[in-house]
Amino acid sequence: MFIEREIEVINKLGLHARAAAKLVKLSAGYQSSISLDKEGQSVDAKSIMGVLMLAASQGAKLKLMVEGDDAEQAADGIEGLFLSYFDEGE
Amino acid sequence: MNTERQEQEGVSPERVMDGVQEVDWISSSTKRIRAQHHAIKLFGFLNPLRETPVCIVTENELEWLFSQTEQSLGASPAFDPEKVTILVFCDNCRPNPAVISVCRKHNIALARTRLTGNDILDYLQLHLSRVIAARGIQHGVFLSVMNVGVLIIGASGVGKSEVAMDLVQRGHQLVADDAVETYRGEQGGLIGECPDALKGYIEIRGLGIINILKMFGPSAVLDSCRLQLVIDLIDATNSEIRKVDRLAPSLKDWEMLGVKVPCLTMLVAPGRNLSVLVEAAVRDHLLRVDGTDSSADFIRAHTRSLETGAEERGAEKQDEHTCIGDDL
Repeated sequence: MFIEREIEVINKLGLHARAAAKLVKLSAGYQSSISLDKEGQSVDAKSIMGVLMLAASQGAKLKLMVEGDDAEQAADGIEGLFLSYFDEGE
Repeated sequence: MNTERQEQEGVSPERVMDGVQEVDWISSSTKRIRAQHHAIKLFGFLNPLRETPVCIVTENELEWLFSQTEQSLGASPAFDPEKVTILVFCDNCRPNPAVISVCRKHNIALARTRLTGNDILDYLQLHLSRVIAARGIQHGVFLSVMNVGVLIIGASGVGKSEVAMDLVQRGHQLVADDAVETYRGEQGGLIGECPDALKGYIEIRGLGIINILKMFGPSAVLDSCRLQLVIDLIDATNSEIRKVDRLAPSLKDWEMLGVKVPCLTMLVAPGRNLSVLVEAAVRDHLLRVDGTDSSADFIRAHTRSLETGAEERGAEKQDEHTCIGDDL
């Protein structure tokens, strides 16, 4: 199964190191291959260096692409993490 | 996942010339230069019959240029200002008001430099293809192993960074960990570089992010390298190892930005020292490039020995017959 979604970075600090670590940890738990795309640059969401390279700040629009058996859960989980401000409250 | 990013937005005139010192911009342009079909030349001396996106003007071209009026430059059936993005005046030549006015009207960037036309030509030859090349980000670890650019790919957690660490320890150079910026370089090869933010760093599970540059010194890190071999690490159960073709390397083609690179599948299993295997794969690759195919050579020699063995046995049998004949 292949899922593509638009996600906006809404938390204040953007996809900073701690947030990226949380995202990578969550992604690594899924079987599907997950990649994030920012302005045409696409990286593996299971790789911390890749996610950090994106340097996505608040307001950045990312494209989430998930492919695999648990794609639906993975896409929901990751979208949820962005929407919950990476559990940082702002 | 193999991702490709075309520079859809193109490159600004300022970026094209950013490696040249002492450039005065007389006018700027919102036009962009894009990677085009190879047949279209991107730069050259100003030629009214064959415009290029980057036009170089030296004293030789001035005569024609200054003989034109503003109207004839803008409306000449031969010279099309729409095709030109930058006009570079070299040798300290100065554009006249007609040229400046045409450039402003047709959105052409106008630059002046003290360098000679040939200097600019040399610069563009080296840098333009690099600047406007289609780029892509590839997930994987990129190293220079015995001066061969090796990209190690495979699912996350298979141990790419660990192999890279081991190879650095064995004296090879790290180019990029996890995210490799690749573009099509001169002579059609793929060049891999490290995105600026990640330069010299590697991430190892359990150890966090490690500064390779500080830990091993500058000789352990390389800025860029030509990609020659891809190694695909696959976590294999023992039953899969048994299925592998034992006589030939598991080679296939790997493609990015339209360039094909040989890709070797390497199985990860306990007891297989991957850094040693990567080194061996590189040595074998170098031999293959030189025309030596170890597997094929061995099989050929073996087949030949079988044939000669059969011939000898045939000859022995003949001998036996003749011996018997002698007895009678």
